Amino acid sequence: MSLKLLRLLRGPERSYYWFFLFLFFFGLLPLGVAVKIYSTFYLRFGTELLILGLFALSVDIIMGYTGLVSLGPAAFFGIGAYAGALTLLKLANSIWLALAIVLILSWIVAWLIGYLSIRIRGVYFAMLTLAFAEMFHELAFNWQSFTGGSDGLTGVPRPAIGIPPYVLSLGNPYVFFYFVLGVVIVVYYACVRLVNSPFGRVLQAIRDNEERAEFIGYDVRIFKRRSFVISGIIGGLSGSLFALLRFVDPDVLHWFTSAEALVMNLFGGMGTLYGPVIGAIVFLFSKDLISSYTEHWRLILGVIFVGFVLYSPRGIVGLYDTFRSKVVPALFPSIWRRVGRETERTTESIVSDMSPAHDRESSPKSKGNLTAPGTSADRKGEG
Amino acid sequence: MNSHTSRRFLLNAMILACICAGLIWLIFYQILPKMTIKIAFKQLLNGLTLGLMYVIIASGLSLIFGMMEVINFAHGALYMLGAYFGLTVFRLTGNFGLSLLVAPIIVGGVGMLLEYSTFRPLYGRSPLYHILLTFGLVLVIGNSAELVWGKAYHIFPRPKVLGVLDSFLGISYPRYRLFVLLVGVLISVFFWYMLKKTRFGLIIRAGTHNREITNAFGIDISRYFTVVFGFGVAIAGAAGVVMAPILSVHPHMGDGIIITAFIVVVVGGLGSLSGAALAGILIGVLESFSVILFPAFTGAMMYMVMVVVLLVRPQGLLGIEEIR
Repeated sequence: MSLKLLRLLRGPERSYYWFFLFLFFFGLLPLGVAVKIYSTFYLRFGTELLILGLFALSVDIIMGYTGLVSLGPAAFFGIGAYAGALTLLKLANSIWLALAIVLILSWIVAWLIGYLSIRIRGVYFAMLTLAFAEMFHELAFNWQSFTGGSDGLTGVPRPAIGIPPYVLSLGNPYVFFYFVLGVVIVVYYACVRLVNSPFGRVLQAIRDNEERAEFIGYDVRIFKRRSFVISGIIGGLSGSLFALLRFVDPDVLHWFTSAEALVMNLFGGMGTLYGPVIGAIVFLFSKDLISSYTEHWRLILGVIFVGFVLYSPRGIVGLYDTFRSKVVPALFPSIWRRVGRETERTTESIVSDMSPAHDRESSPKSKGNLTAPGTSADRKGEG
Repeated sequence: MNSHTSRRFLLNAMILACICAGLIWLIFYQILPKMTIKIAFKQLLNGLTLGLMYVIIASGLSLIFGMMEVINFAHGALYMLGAYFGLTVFRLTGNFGLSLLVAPIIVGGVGMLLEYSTFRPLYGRSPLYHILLTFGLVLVIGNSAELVWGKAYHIFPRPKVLGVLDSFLGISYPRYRLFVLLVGVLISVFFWYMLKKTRFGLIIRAGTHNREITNAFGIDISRYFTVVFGFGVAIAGAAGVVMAPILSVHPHMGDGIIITAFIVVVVGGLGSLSGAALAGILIGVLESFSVILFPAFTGAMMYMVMVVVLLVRPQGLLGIEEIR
C-alpha cells in the first residue's frame, strides 16, 4: 500500500499533487467566518470561486490539453445551471437526481455540438461553438414559460444530502462550501489521472501535432470529441452548482461567460489543470476587490489583463515558474544546485511552452487554423 | 464515381430536399400571409441598410484577419468609439459631414496606436493571444468611454436635411436610412477600389496571400500592418457615426455588433471580401424580415444561418481555402 502510494507520489503526476494542499488550506476558509474575522459573504464568495474554478478547469481540458479553442463553454455552464434549477423546481428536490440529469444532458448536448463542430477546424470551430452557445442563450431568453426569460429562475430550492437520520441541507453555506470543495477535489483528481492516462497522452499529442497523431493511427476526431464531451460534462456540473449558489438567468449563457472562462485560463496558466482554478480565484478576487474601490473596475482589470497577455503569457503559474527558474538561482545559487535539474525539467514539461519562437509562417498549416498555445513541437516529453 | 462519393451525393440530395420542403412550407404558410408588397419592400430596404453596415464593419475585420491573422474582438469597441467621437464633433460644430470625416480619422489613429503598442509584440504567437488581448482592450476601451462620456444613452440628432420622410412608389421611407445606404455603398466601393486597383491594395493582397514571398520581393510587410489596422478600424468608426442617429450612443453599442461581424466574416469565408459583402447583406435582409415574420427568432437567425453554412460549406460561402 505504502509502496503504491509512494509510486503515485513520485510518478509523472507528482507535480499536480501540491494543489491538494492548496485546496486543503482553501478548505480552512470557513474557520475565519466561524471566529468572525470576516462575514458569511466570503463563504459564499469562496464557494463561487470554487465553482467558477471548476468551470475554468473544464475549459482547460479542451483548450489546454487538446488544443481546441472553444468559444462556447458557456453553453454547458448554462445548460447545467438551467437543467439543475429546473429539475429542482419542477421535478424533485433531490440533488442526486438533478446532478444525474445535468450530467446526462450535458453529455448529450456536448456530444451533439462536438459531432457537428469538430468536423471543422480553427477559427471556424471556435465560431461554430460560439454560435451554438448563443443559440442556447437566445432559447433561454425567448422561451419565457419554461426558462423564465430575462428574469431567469429564482427561488431554486436547496436540497438536502445524506441518509435520513443524518441530513444536511445544502442551504447551509458551510455544508454547501464543503460539498463544492469535495466535488472540486474529486473532479481535479479525476482530471489529473485522465490527462496522465494513455487517453490523455493522445489528447496532448493531438494538441502538439495533430497530423503526427493522425499518422500514428489515432482517429483524431473521435479523441477530440471525447475530450469535448468530458469538458462539457464538467462544465455542466459546475453550472448546476452555480444554480444552487445563486439564481439562474440568461447571463450564464452569454458569450461573456465563455470569455471569462478563457480569461481565467490565461490568467492562471492553461495546460496545468491547477492554473485555471488559481486563475479563476485570482481573477474573481481581484474583480471583487477593485470593484469595491472604484466603479471603473473594468478599466483596471483590462489594463492588468493586457499586461498579462503582453508580459506574462503563461499566467500566474508562469510567473511562479519564471521566479523559480530565474530569480531563485540568481539569489540562492546553492539551493538551486541542490534542487537541481529535475525541477527544471518537470516545470518545463508541464507548463505549455509558449516561446515567441513559435512562428506560424514556417509551418505549412493553412490560414484560419486557430490552435491553443503550446502547440510548438519543441515541447519536451515527460518521463 | 465510387461508392463513397455516391453516398455523399445522396446525403447532400436528401439535405437539399429537406431544405426545399422547409422553404416551401415557410413561404406558403408563414411568410405569404403576413406580407404585402409594401412591407416587403420596406423590410428589404431596412435589411439592405443594416446589411451594408455589417458589410463595412466585417470587411475591416476581414482585412485585418487576412493581413495579420489577428482576430480583433475590439472592433466593436472601436465602432462604439467612432459613434462617440462623431457625437462630440457634431455637438461642437453642428456639422454632420465634418463628424463623419473626423471621427473615423481619430478612431483610425487610436487603432494605429493600439496596434503599434499592444499587437506588435504578439505577432508570431498563437492567435489565441490576440483574442485575449483584444478582449482586454474591449474592457479598457468600453470603460474609458464610460469615464469620458458617462453611462447614459445619448441621442444623436439627425441632420435636418436628412431627417425627413421620402415618398416613392407609394411608400414613405426615412431619408436618413437612404443616406446610410448610400454611405454604405460608397465606403464599400472605395474599399473595393483601394484594394483591387491601387498599388497599396496590391501590396496588401500580396501580403494576405503570402507574407514570406512578399517580404522576399523587398517589401517590409510588417510596416503595412499598422496602416491596415488603422484603416480597418477607421471604417468601423465611420459605420459607428452613420449608425448613431438610428440607434443611440451608449458604451455597450459595440458588444453585440462584433459577434454579428464575425459571423458575417465566417459565413462569407475568411479573408474573402466579396464573401463578406454577400453574407452581410444576406444576414441583414434575413434579420429585418424575421423581425416581422418570426420575432422570437430574430436574435437566433444569424446563428442558424452560420451553423447551416458552416456545416454544408465549412469554408464559408465564397471562401476558397480548403478546410479539412
